Amino acid sequence: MSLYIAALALLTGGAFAALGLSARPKLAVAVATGAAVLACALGLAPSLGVLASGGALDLSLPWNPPLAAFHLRIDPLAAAFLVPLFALGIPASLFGAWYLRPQLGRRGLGAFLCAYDLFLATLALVFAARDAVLLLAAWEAMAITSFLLVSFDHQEAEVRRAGLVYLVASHLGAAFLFALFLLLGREAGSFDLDAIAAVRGGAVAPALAFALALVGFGVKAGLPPLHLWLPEAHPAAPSHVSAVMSGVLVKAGVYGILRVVTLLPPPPVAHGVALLLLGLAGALGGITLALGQRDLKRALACSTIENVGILTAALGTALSARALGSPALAGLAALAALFHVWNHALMKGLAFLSAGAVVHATHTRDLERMGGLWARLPAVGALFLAACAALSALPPFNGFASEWLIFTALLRGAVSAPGAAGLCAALALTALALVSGLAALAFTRLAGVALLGEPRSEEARSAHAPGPAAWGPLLALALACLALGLFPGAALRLLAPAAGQLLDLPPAEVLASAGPAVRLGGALPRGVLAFLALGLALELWRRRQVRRRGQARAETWGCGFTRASPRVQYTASSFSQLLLSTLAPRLLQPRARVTPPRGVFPGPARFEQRVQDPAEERLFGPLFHATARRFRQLRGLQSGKLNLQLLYTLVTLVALVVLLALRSAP
Amino acid sequence: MTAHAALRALLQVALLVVLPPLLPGIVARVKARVAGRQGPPLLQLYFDLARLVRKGEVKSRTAGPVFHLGPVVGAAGALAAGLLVPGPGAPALLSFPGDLFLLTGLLAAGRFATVLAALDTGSAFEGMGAAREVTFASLAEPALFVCLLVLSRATGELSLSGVLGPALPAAWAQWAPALLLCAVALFVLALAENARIPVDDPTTHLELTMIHEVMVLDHSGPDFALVLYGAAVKLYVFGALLARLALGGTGRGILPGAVGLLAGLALFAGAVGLVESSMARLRLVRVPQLLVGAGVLSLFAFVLLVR
Repeated sequence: MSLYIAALALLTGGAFAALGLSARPKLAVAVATGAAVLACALGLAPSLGVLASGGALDLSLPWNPPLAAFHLRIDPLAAAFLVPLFALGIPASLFGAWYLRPQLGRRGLGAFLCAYDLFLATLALVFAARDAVLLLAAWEAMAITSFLLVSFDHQEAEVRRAGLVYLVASHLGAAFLFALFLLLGREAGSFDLDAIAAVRGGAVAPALAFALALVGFGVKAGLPPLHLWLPEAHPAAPSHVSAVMSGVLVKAGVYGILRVVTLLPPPPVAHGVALLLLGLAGALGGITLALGQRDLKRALACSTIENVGILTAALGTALSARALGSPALAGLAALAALFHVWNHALMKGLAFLSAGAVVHATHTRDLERMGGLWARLPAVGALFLAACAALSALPPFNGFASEWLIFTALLRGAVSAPGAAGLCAALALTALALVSGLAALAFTRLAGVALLGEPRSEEARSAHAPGPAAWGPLLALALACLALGLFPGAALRLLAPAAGQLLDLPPAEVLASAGPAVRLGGALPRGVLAFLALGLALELWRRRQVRRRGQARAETWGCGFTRASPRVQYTASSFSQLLLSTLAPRLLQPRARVTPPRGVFPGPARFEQRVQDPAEERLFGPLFHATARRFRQLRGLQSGKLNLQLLYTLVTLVALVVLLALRSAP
Repeated sequence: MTAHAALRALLQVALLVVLPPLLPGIVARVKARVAGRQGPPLLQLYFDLARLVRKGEVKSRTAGPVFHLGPVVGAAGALAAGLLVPGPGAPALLSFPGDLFLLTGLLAAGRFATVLAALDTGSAFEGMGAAREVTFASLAEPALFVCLLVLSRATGELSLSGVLGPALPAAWAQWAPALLLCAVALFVLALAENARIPVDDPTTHLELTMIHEVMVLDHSGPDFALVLYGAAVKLYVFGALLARLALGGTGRGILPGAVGLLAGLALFAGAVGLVESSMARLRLVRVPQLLVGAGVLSLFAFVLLVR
């Protein structure tokens, strides 16, 4: 536990040191980055230790605020989320130091570095807090520090808007959490989570508590329709912040839901099914939204909605299976979901960081202005391609390993469960198969349009390759993705205690439910290795053959079209057009405005396309506008005169006193 | 490992490596015969491969290393998927619960690489083919999952070798209608995944209407040999699955198993040839309907099992 506290202290110290060193930006960046990297390394040790041993670390310190206690505990569930935070924190911070180099002279850099280190510290605190007040305090501090990080480029109106959307969403979500913990704390007579867990929520209806948690934490997790802030905030933030937000901050929402589940009585089937449906809706909606985006980082943000959806669906499967009395299936699904938490943190971290390097080199996030970047930034290109393959759940990467586990869990359910439950599992499996097919479309689109072919703009043509300071940290992440894909057994052994804690099962039983196929030297890794070996052998054969027979270079075959130009390449919009216009539901289709060329000698033509998010256009947009309209009517009361305002205060006070007197009279 | 088992493994690998290029030859021969022509020799693809391997390659100036990833990963994925397919009268070389998801994952990896290789040339037509390929694949994959799910549910087994193994005859006896629906859907998916009529026309000469062929327009020499070989192996994988399903497990020992498998593969290739002779390619907008139809058919089969 002392290592964890040291990590927190180091992060806080680094944060304020960086603020103090604002006048010497180079040193400030070095101090903040050094503190973050060292703290993450320190924090990783106890987290992995807890998972390896299956025990828990506990610490209580005296704390002054009323009703609160500084009670920390790293149990397996917390450690399962701390590991990706610290593991991703190291490469993200190192990349950040490179990414911030052009900003060295900027005002506000010290504050940004301070907010970054504090952000990591508050995230670590959220996972370990064992007291509801402490948890909420850390939660709010996390929201505020990440808001500051998102608004780093606040000169741009778009970024200010993104920051505002994020802040409002966070606070609305937090309101539900306050309600939830007030209810639970009142029942338990204490805000300590141990006390709340001891009474199992008391007289609070489990459905109410679950719903409050689902809304409050679901905002952070990006569950539909509360995902609105994600595609706004992720592209606005600097890339290493997007990586940590997408990899870990979003998972804090999932962690919150799971933590509340462990506090309440074992959830009924309905709760599991609700999670499953929400997850599937998020997965399908998120990936369809990703298909239409022209902004590289926005597309990645939409894919975060998809991945959180996938793992939420797996958690829903786990809870339903447990309620239906098949613990082996529940264990497998929970293990798969937690494994996906790790995998997504690594692969999405890699994707955001390499996208950051691409954006850094081309000065644009617009896919249609990229192209041909592999030839110019080969290292970054290869890493981005690896991230795309992992996110499309392809072997040999880690995304495939966790998705394989989720599919296997659903297959078992579909084969063995009777009646409706079996049919539900089969339908969920079909939906997830569709999601993985669409993910392949989305990521071939990103990688193909951004990296391959001819450059589509002058910026892309003149892009320069960054040095190893940029891609070094990414290489480590890519290797981690590959390692978890080839040897999932080691990670599953570590995660088994966390899944066991969630489902009240012994870790050995959870691990056994995954079957022998995923273990080291099991059949699954052997199949993936055979694939790698075959690919390597064929590649060597091909190279030898080309060396012996020679290679000629020529133009791409233009199908009879003689004046090839980069402008005839298939664009990002056209790549996904067939699916979006013919198969996507009308709600999710992009709005296109086309002015076709007319006449015998065609004149100018126009094509405009805008992606719409039904949650924004149909739900929250009208809702917020209607609310604003109502409140505008109250504006008449606010005249701006001081004496009137004082009168209002007096009247309110008198009314409250009268109310109290009336209530206590009889 | 006993000598017997080693021999059997050797036979399975040999079949997987050597046999696939024969299938397109049978398809072409059937099509020619139906049209009243003599047709190319049965071993035409072997000759083509031998010729391509001896050639040098012409590479586009736009293309980079990813361009070669397509043929290599495509062929490696198909071959690795072949390891998961049950052999003649025996389980697959690699068999474990949930191996069907590894099979689809390997095929998806091959498709991913082929699509990127097509985009690497910067050609408008290849980009178009690539977009169509992934779009249709995203619909074919769920349907394929449901098909395999039906087989799993009917037999109570979780691995391909188990599903298409000794438990299959009993499942046919009990669930014949559902398995028949599933076999039909699987056949449609085999046509779609292997870019055959009615989804894609492998012999068309108009780039605008192609899907799979247009993606590999720029490949030549050893690269193109790998593309053709990978496609043949993929056809073999689907053919072997369907043959096992239709023939109810194809015998017990090696010899009857091998005969059964060969007969089943020949029947499959003949059926593909007959479909290609009797139908035209569907309009592009109809293809999703065909794929979704196959998915609905197999989902219906699943409902029959759950009922």
